[in-house]
Amino acid sequence: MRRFLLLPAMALLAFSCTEKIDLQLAELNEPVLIVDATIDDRPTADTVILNYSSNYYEGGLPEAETNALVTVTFNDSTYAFSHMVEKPGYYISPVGFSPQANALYVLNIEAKGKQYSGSSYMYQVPTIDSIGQRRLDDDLLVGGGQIELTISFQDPPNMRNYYLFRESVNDTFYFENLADYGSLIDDFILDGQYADLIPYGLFDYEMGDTIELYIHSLDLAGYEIYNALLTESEFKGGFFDAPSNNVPSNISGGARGLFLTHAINSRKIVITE
Amino acid sequence: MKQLLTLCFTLCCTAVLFAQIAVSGNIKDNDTGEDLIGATIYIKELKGGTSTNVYGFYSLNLPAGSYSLVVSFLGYTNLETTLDVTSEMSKNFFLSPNSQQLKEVEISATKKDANVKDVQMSSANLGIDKIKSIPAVFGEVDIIKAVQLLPGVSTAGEGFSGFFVRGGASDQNLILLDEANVYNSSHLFGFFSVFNPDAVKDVQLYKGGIPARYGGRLASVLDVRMKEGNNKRFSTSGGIGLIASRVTVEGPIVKDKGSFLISGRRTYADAFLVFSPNKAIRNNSLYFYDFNAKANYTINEKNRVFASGYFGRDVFSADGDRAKLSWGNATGTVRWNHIINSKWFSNLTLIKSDYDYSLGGSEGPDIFKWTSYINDLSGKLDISYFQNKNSEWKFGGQITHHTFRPAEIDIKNDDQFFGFNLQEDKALEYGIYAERQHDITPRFSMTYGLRYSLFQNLGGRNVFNYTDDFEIKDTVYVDKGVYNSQGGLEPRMGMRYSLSDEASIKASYNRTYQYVQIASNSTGSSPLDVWFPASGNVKPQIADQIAAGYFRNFKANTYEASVELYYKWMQNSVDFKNQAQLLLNEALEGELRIGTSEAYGAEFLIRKNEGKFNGFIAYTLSKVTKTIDIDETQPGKETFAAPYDKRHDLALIANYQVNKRTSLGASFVYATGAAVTLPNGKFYYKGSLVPTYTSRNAGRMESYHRFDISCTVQNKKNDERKFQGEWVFSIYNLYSRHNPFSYIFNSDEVTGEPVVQKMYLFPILPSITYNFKF
Repeated sequence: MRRFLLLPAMALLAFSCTEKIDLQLAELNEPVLIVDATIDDRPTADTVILNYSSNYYEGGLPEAETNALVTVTFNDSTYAFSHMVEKPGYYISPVGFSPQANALYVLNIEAKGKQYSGSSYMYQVPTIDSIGQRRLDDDLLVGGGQIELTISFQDPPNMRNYYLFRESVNDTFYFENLADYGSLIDDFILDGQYADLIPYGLFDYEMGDTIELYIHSLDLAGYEIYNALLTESEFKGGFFDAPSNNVPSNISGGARGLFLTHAINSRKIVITE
Repeated sequence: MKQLLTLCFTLCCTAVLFAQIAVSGNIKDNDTGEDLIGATIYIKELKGGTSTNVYGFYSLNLPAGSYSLVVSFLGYTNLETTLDVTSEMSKNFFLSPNSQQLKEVEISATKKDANVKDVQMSSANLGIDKIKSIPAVFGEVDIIKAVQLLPGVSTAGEGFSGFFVRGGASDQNLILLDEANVYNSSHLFGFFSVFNPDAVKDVQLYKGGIPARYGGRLASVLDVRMKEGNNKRFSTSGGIGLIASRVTVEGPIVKDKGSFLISGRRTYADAFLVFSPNKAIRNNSLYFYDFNAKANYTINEKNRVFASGYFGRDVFSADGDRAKLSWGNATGTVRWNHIINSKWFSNLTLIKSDYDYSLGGSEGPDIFKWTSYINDLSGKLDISYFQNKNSEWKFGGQITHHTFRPAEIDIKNDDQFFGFNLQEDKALEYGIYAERQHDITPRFSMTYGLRYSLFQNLGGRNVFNYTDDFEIKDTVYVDKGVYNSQGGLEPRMGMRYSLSDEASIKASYNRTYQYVQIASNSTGSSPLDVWFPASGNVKPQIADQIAAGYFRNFKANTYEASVELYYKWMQNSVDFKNQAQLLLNEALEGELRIGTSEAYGAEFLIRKNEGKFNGFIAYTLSKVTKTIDIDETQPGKETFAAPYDKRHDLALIANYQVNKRTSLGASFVYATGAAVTLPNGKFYYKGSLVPTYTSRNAGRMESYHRFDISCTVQNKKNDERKFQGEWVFSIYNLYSRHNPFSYIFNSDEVTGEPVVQKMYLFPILPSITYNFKF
């Protein structure tokens, strides 16, 4: 549906030009802690990434927070994450940290004498039952020559669900930015129904590629903040956009960023068309 | 107190002072039979007179006697005649248009000294010929683009058809086409307006001192009247431009009794796509079309009926109908003018006004349709009572049934169907009014009126109640019938004191209520914007405006000048919380944040009305702020500039008649840059740059300025030949200024470093149009 919502902007882009300018901008009073924390129910390690905001025009890598105390609590157990020296600002979950769905997770961070805290509820996720594929005609403006994937799963009834879909190609995730990272879905249209090979997306896959589709559960705050991050980081042409404003956060204490928890289900398909 | 009693006594007694005889009728164009709006009759013996209303009707009350009359209308030759008044009589006058040369230089459709003599202030009547002489983007003449040049009226930027009047938002303008509300006045995302200039007769804008007969919007009224059609002979006119063409056919149904007009236009950029070798491009469309049609018939001297309609559609599609967006307005008006007697005139109107959009694809794997619509059905009665030459009353009422459908989504995927509907909102809106124009003394005149408006939400739906944190507290089903009513009194007043024949001071006050508004937090209007009504959770917006001005004409009204000051304060102003979700949100009211707004400014206008060289200079100094709690992370309400706040706004328009066949036009506009929210920092999330911002609209874009020129060359005159043609050459943005449309904050694609990009729309744009008439 997002593709359809972009139609007005697509039309207007035909009339517009862009050029780089040197615009005078105010500077930050002080850098703010940025949190990128993601915990899922997969057996792989989870990470919390901490760094700081910077002035708009400041280039280079952001300043990493390398000396923080990071803990995650769920089901009455608290786990301390440790800093990865080889990856400044990355904190990794300890051995034995096994997140499960249907639990509340609390993230606590102590950095430079300040306390930060956030929470996220990990909801159960539906199972992907099947994936379909179809190669579109070459001469289409939208999706010409691309593979369209379809997906089947049962949306849980009587509750609003929020999903993040991702896909790996030959066991590798490719993304350069948040828009590529995954697709955010709200089940308000599906609610409680069986999604039977509904369109999932258009991709430039080659025959023989192995694609693994992942469905992640999100809580409402996670969905809203993720959506806001997507809105503020995507191209904002100003045609029909709301005024720019700061992305909210589910981390208290003045930090920005997002604490996400996901239950994940996935299914593979080999491209044959 | 003594003065007040004297005033009341004067007001009450003027009706019975003299035994007077009523003379009434219409003033019409002699060539086409079109009624002339605002044409004047001046009675030399009485040093006064009257003017025609929006239906071309006038009524005079005179003592018996013989009078010398001057009937006039700008662009027409004055008619001097005598009239013996012995008993009540009906009398029509016919004015002949001036020569083409003189017509080219008219600047306003109203009487020459209206600037000084009319009680009405803060208004403008735009002559359609003058609008046509202003250089336009792609050479497409646009009424709203012309309105945007007036003092007190600003635009969101290049390309936008929306306009902002004295600190009001774009949805606070009541835009009427033959009395039907036009919900979206834009074609092609705002590059053009829905008004086809060939079908338009009269354009009247009220920015303040809004008469009581208008209601429903806070900021302004743009009252556009369509031509009736030539009731003398058939004629065809049109134009061929770079981007669009138009044609108008008009003629008598029964000569001198009835006429019709049909006018249509269509853009055709997409027509060239079929020649593309690339099928992907061949299958795309981006165009608009619209039709205006009108017919009228004079049943007898006292009864005349009109029917008019507008239908317009914009279409953008990719890959055939695989992805398609289409939107448009449809309006219909049926009117019955009835002259009860020479003192009483009535107009009964039935109005239908619809706006809808649909989005989706109708073939292929994504079978998806999203529709949204607004349907209005109105009945309206207006009565005029011409009490005497010093007093005219107007009163009447209107009832409108609104239906709002914010979204209806249907998805078909093979044999599966998914649907999602946001509830319909239905409501009734009422307005009753009475107003009087009263010449109290030869120097002092007033208009005063009162409007009462009422809005009633209709049930048969779920209603949400919200907590103080704007979360849904509970949901209540309300049965059919009225479940919520809100209303209020809207006093309106204006006064004029003549200092001399060429100078006056004026003042006005008006209160306006608005019960429906657009759910948009962007500056420009999108075709996907939805309107929503006042309710138990949303109070009506209320505006109070006071204005005062000094008006002075020079050299027998050849030059006119004015300065107006205004102050407007608005209650229950609507804005939206940061990151509001406005589409497909059943709890839309929870996204609203309510506060106040304040606007004030000074408007200066100098205009040369006649001569080979004519034009105007308009300058506005103004400020608009809103005070609303839009940021939940900050305590209390925030005061911030409205996005359409422009401290300085200047327009210079000039026309020069080189000779009988050639005229030149030029316009220069300058405006302070729009208020925008600028970043002060950034962070990265999943590889994306996310700016952090200072407070809302604390920054400014670069200033906006542009210079346009045009040259119109008419074909050689030949009285034997019916066919008339003219070439219009124009250059928009002559010095190719890259005026900012928006700023984009993102990473450079090559270096990855943070950059700021300016998006702009039109560099220098030459165009050519050929207009014809036969």
